[in-house]
Amino acid sequence: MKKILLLIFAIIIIAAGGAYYYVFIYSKNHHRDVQSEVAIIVTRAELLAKDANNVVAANGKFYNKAVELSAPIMEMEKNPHDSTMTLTIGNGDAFDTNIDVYLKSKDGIKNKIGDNITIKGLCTGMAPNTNVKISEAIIK
Amino acid sequence: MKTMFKILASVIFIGFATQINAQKVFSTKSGQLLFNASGGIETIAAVNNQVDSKLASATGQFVIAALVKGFKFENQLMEDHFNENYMESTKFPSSDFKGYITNIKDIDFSKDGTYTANFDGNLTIHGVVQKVTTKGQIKVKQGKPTISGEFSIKLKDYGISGSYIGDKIAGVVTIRVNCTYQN
Repeated sequence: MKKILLLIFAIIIIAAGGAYYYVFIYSKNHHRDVQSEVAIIVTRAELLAKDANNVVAANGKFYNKAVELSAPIMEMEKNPHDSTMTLTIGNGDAFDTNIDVYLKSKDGIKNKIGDNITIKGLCTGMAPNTNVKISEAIIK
Repeated sequence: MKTMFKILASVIFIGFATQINAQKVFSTKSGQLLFNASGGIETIAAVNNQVDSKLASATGQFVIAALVKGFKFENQLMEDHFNENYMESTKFPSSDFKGYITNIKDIDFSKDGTYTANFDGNLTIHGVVQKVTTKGQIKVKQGKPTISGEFSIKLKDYGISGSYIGDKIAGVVTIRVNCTYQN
């Protein structure tokens, strides 16, 4: 009987320890690495060829997935909060829906406006009247 | 006659240029939103550095929009629960605050300084729209304004529920805004 109680106690301790490790240690040190995931290769047209009036439906196909696409740089902006670069890539029409790319690295980039680039990152979706956003991106 | 025409053209041009200046719309794609919902021992806080914002200097009209998926937590599990169980980001992918700075006339965008701004607008979170009135600051430096402010919301007002709210997660959440406009 004593052995059984000890065994149950040991199982509880191990389970609690495992849960603590997973919740408070593993989850803090292991974040999703989009760059290790296989990306869906899309064109700008495919990424934007959705009903912009229905954001939920529009977000459905590529939302929360790794995507890779090529397009020319239209705008560049340095993020004052984390020193990363934000690039807007698209068809050159600032009034059209384009793609905002938030680079992962804090290192500067050599590319300039007009350069055609290929990026890979996480599609975080779109909001009404805003561009599609791709975060944690790298230039390939 | 030619001189008269030139003067007239100059007057029209100056008037047009002044009008353009008066209607300046500042924008950024790199605004920041921070929220803190720490209720117990564990810190529950996240930051989003991918916030869209526009501010019209003449009318005071503003919009601050963020994708829920853009909030980053120190703890990945917390981030997953935030998106899936609380904010339901697949169903409600974005949040925004739209409205007017009601005392925009007190703010001189051509002069460096720190000004108090009264924000009055509609805050949409989790698909629920609520009216929010709060004070903030606009700091103008070299022609570029930065808006900052902090306000609190009750999660239940936005239909956000979950078993940990009120225990591990605070029922009242503090939101901090910080947007430096690029142009």
